Amino acid sequence: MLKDVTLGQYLPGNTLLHKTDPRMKLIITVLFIVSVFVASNLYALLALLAFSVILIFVSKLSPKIVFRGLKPIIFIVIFTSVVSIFWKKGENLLFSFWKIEIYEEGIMYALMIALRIIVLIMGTNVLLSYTTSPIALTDGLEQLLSPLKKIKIPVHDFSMIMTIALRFIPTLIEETDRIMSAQRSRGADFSTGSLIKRAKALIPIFIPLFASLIRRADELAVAMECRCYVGDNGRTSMNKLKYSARDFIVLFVMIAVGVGVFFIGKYTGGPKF
Amino acid sequence: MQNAITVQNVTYVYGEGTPFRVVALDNVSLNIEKGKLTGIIGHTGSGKSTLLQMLNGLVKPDIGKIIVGEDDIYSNKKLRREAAFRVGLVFQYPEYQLFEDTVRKDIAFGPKNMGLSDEEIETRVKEAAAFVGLSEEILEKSPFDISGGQKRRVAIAGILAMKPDILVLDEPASGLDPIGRREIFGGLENYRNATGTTMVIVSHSMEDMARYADDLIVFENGKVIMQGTKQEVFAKEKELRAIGLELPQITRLARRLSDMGISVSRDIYTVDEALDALLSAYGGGDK
Repeated sequence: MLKDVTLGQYLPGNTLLHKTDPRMKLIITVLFIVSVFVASNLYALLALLAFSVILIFVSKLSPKIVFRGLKPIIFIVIFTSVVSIFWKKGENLLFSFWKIEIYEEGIMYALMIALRIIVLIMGTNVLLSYTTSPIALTDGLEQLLSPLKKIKIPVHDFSMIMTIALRFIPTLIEETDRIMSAQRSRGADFSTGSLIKRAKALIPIFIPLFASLIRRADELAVAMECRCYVGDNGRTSMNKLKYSARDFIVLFVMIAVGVGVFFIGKYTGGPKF
Repeated sequence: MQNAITVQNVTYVYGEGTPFRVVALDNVSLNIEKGKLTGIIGHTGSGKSTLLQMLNGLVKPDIGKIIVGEDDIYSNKKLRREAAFRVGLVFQYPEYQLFEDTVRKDIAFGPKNMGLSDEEIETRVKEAAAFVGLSEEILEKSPFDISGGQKRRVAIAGILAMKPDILVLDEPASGLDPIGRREIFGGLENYRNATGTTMVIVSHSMEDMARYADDLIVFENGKVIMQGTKQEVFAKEKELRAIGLELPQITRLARRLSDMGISVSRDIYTVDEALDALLSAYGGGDK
């Protein structure tokens, strides 16, 4: 069923990462992503992997859920590493058959690509998706980008659109699920028949879905206006974001890890890519 | 009595392995007797809606069996798909599933999926529309241009037209005004009197349940805590009140009078019954 899709992946908690200011988390995530690409050899990447695993424990997430979050990228990881095994040429030939040549460097390269993607996704998931509520995330993004308001970019409107979109994704999934169930119980069949037949079978889902979306949008607009929403003009926020000492400690740790990864990559052996 | 549906030790869990894990149904067993109208009562989130979706093949129980007639409907794919036709399920707020450009076509959607002939579909649409009190004129309108109560009746007619052996309704009258409620329940009663279909109705309204149901099943936190005839369940007034369910006002009034020594039955569920009882208690006479 559609309910199994985890889009709103936020898992509430009360740990260091959960409590870190969302703005700081966005900055840290950017630093993390930079570190992943700065890490130039296997050891540096392994160090980052270790760091991500530590993050999982710090935020008290169940490893099972974090691994489940990696499922969607399994295909990409396998595909890119397999391609690079055959593609990367080097000096130490391990195996050759007809036109296929596999080098030691190729295997190393494949391993590093796989590791890089996994660390990248796992780290950003733990830093942002799993430990930051969507509302906090958009709030943080808005405030982080607020200097752009000076050059007339409607940052507030964008973040409001994002907040609403994020808020309604689960509702939309639920609604779709409900309508599908309702039509299925009237004997609608979505999974058999030719392509055209299946496309036609979607009409009984889409029409009620759009009707209800328009209705919802209308209700939401009225509800917002009733509460005097006029966009960004003089709007204050209930939870003012404030950096605390904790946030800077987290930032410092991240910078230290990034610098550490850089030097590990620089001063340890092994092929660098 | 024969059972139309037997639910055997069914358990269902949402969000297994996440912090949002919820046990929707916890080892639930129950029987629904053939030809009866069984009411299911319980608070929001007590597992009623999940159970209803199991009855017609939409949600497979994690543990346990759903037996419709003689068949365990989740034992194979064919039976599971057939269950959709044997057990007609009317969802809560079913008007949101209307999609065709005329009411007639929308009611015909179910029968069409059953692969019936055009004439058969036409007669079924007419019959179903008549049961719920929709006029010939409304059949030609768009389902988006009619009133809320009418939409609801169109959606119910869409299921009635499939002539299921068992009709299951989730809060069929929720969100309607008293006239709308009466029209819905009146239509269902007509249909039941004419066809003898087994019905299962989920409702919050003790008044409606008292009025229309034969048997009652009470849900609380995913468990069946009471099950029996209406009289048996309503006799346990204290237990019902403990979970926040009040008997209908008129029943409470009758019981109060009976406690005061006036010879009125303790099983009075409608104002008319109460009137008759009071008249006979005070020496008869005409209304």
